[in-house]
Amino acid sequence: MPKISIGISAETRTGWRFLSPAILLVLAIAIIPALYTLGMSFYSWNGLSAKWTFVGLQNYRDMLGDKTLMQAIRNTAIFTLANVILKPAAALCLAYAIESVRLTWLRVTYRTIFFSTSLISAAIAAMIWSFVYEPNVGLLNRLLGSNHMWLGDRDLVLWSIFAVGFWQFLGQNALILMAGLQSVPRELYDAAEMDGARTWGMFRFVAFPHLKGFIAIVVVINIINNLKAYDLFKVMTDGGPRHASEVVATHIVKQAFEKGELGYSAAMSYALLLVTLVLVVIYLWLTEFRKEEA
Amino acid sequence: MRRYHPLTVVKHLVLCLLSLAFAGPFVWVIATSLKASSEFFSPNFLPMDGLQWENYTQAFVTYGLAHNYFNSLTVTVAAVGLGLAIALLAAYGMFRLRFRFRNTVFVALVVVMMMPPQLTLISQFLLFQKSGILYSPLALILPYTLGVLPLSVFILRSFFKELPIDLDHAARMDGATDLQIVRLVLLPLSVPVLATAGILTFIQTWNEFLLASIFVRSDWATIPVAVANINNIATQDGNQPMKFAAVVLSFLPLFVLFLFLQRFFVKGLASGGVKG
Repeated sequence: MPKISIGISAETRTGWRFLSPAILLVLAIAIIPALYTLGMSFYSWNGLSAKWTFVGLQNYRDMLGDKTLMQAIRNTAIFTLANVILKPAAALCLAYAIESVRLTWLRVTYRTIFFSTSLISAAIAAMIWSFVYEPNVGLLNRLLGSNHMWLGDRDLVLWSIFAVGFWQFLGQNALILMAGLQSVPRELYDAAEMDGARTWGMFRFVAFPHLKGFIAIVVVINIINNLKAYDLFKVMTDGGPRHASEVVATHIVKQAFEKGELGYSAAMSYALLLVTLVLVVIYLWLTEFRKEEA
Repeated sequence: MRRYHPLTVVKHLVLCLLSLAFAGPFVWVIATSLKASSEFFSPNFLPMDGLQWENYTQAFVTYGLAHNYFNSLTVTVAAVGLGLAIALLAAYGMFRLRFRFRNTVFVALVVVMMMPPQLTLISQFLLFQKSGILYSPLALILPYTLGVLPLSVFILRSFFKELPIDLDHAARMDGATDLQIVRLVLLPLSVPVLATAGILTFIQTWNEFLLASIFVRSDWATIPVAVANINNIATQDGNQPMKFAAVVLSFLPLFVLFLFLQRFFVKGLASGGVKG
């Protein structure tokens, strides 16, 4: 069709050809299902019957009156906030400590041990820690000589699960920051030493400014992954006891598969995506903004 | 004698204790997996009644983990292979040609990465049901292939940016078509970065749990789902240490992979994560 080719460069046309498998896949597996879900969110549908009842924004309004959802949002917020603040901070200390180990074999050993936890499936990590937390024969109570219900105590359960996520991904976060530390030019350290900088000064004025981009990535990864965290909660407590560890992701799946509220579940999925997008954009905007100021 | 700064001593002490705490659960799980059933409730940390390797053969053979290994391997290799090929083609289109819509496609990929899986879960389920691939391995391979794309494209993007465009021009001068440029010029050069992307996405795919627990039945169950099932069954059967053996079997291949291919991880996490 020669008419179409007018105005579109040959390179753009070749570009489309090379991108078409990727675009097809994104359309078929992500965009079209996502739009279908968007449509679903305006209907009341139980997933089985052929009857779809149009309810407009009712599903979105229903969220406000859903007590379990409010509890889930609270838990998700605490969990994500704890992860976004504590994990990158700890990872930064860990990365700096490991990078400053002089012996190569020891440095590699530390790196391997801390990173190894992030290799396993979150579902498997959840199983391992269910064993560790088991009140009677679990490792933790044996070591402490106690009999805490780590996953059965409403005040404790969220933090017990937080510890698992912390254990699993601290090393991965640290590894990203270590890559950042390795990219700091050697001369900058030497220059700072010449100017009389000590350990803290080196970190504050040489390493840290260089790491800002890497820290941003670690924070964004934590926002994205923890807001949608599902496997840990599903396998360890399934939201219990009495919704004390219910998070938005588990609530969405339960509403769809146990309650048959597919429209409502769809609406909540969209709210979750929206919150994720907004937080990531705000965070990136803030960090970019600060960079310009400096 | 060398004198050490007190801070250095504290650092080593903390690192040492912390790494013990991090490795502890693994060591304990492995130790328990070799206990006899009767010994499970005893307070000993280590198995005292001889090493029960039968727990492993039982998990592997009787409970069928061998079959689940085959499933996981099939699904993961197919998705990663397909995903890398599609990512390479797309990266060529986006970053080696003057393609006007590169930013649109790129942003779409970033948003796809942020989507909670719950958002598309039910729609995908219905779509797969309609098209008759639900409960077949394709129902996992297709979404997993999509999952391979974002990270691979990020990694290829930072690599292609540093690779001189003159390479492509020279090849085109010699009469190479676009596909030949990708296959004969860029692919051989991209092997190390593709390896990095391949390993990182292999692990992500191998470990996926939510879709695997819904889109296929037990005949195509992958390792994480199968181990979760064994976890439930073994509790009823009273064979507790065998659960631990199943858990060890689930992470062992990834540990081996990591030990041999460590250098790719460090580089990949840096380039894929940051320059994206």
